[in-house]
Amino acid sequence: MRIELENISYTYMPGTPFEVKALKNINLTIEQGEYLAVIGQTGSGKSTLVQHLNGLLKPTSGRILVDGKDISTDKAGLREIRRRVGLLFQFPEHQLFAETVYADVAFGPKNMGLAESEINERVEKALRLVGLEPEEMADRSPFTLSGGQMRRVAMAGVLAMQPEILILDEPAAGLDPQGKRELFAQIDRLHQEEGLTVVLVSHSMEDVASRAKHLLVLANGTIKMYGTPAEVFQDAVQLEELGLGLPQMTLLMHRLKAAGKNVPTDIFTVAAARDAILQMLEVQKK
Amino acid sequence: MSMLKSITIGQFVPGDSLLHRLDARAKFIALILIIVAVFVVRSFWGYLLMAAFIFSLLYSSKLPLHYFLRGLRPVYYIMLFTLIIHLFFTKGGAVLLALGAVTIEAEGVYLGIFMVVRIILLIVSTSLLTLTTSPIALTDALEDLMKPLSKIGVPAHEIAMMMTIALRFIPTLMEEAEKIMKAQMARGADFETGNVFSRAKSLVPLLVPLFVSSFRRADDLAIAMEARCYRGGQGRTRMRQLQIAFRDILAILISAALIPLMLLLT
Repeated sequence: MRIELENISYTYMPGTPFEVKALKNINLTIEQGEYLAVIGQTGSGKSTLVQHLNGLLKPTSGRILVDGKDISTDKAGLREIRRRVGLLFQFPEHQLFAETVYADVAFGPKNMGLAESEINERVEKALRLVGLEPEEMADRSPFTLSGGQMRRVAMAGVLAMQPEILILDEPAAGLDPQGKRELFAQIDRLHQEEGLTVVLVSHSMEDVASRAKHLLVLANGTIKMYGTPAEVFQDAVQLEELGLGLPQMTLLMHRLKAAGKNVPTDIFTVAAARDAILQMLEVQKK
Repeated sequence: MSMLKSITIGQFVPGDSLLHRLDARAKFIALILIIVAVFVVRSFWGYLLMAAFIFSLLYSSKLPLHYFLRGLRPVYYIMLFTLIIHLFFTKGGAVLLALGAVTIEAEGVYLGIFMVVRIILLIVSTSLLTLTTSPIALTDALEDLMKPLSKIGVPAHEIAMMMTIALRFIPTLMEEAEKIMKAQMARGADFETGNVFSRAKSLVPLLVPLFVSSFRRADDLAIAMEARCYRGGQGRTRMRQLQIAFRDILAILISAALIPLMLLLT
């Protein structure tokens, strides 16, 4: 499925002194199989933007096309779109409500009106996808779980609807480094193995640079930069001005290059940086 | 979210008019005096004068008219009901319309319209206070005005503190409610269609998380307050001291003068 945003603007509380223009003339296309990271500082409009992708917010002006169809004119299709576009909010563990993990994860499929056996199957699969054992977890109360487990249950609740696009708003907020690594590995797996289109909202370059296909940099409700990570990181100066900066390893490579070393700059992880530096030293020796 | 938008409690609109600058306590006392004055009005001229007074205040507040109209919306039906009751059941004066046993008489029309005007004046003058005074200033004023009552055991500070906290958390809770609502809607929940029972049932996925987070917030707040040695009102000072200026006294005096004036205009 393919989502196009055409000239989207969104204003909170229009016509009052509290009016805020959260988005201004956004044009964006999300293709099937995309792995898009939306980056920006707090208040840049990231969360507002992603809530348009499944019709939770209606643009003040502009159009949203899903597979070429305008969703604002197609009210009946909205439910279908919300099923196909899974949105996991920030701190999703706050949305848990049911008495058991099973019932909570089953909430989405139930709302879709699926048969009991199908629901059962989906819940089990979704729990496995987020790394939880269905036998062990299904009957527990979600409120007795640890924060990290609760977040996984919430994520399973979205995955159980078997969306084609998974949108995650700051999924790693408040997790420890280990939990963060696991979570991102899971998201990567969903992208690669389940073929999900992923939209990841984050304010941390470090987290997204090595995994996203494209980066979208938002500031004050407008798109400041868009492209592959390597393309976006070419303009280190502007990123710095936007208060975002480069991933540490990319910064290192930029500095080495500036110091006259022959190294590539499209490097985002420690492992890649190590290899590049070793290679450079190798070449120097000869 | 249409549901949440219609609830406007945090009504305060920041501004820089004379009404905004008046001391909250003075405004509070003045409002009570004005309400009394509205209730003792006895004549057409009295209504005209009160209306002129209140609407000139409204004008001086520099707030758009639709804020006040929004405040009137919940009482539309009460106004309509009042008018109809008076039209049909208040007798006296010339008969204006007779349909068999049902008559509409002049006194009914007269009283009905006056009652509606009275309701409008009450709502508008109350809105003047809540629209031009921040909730914090309001509760500070209440605490101050209730202070004499603490001598007879009224926990003035505690009541004010509870109100402050409640007011402070209304926007937070609304935001939280909206977020949870959206999260459940993203999972296919439907809050807007169905009959009363299915709608009430559909609120469970909203209310349970909202309660859970409220308790968590309350806990966090209690710890944060204790960590800063909060121990009730004894000897507590304020960052913003309330100060009565000449204009505040003047506001109270003018409002107080309205009452005898209304009693005299017969």
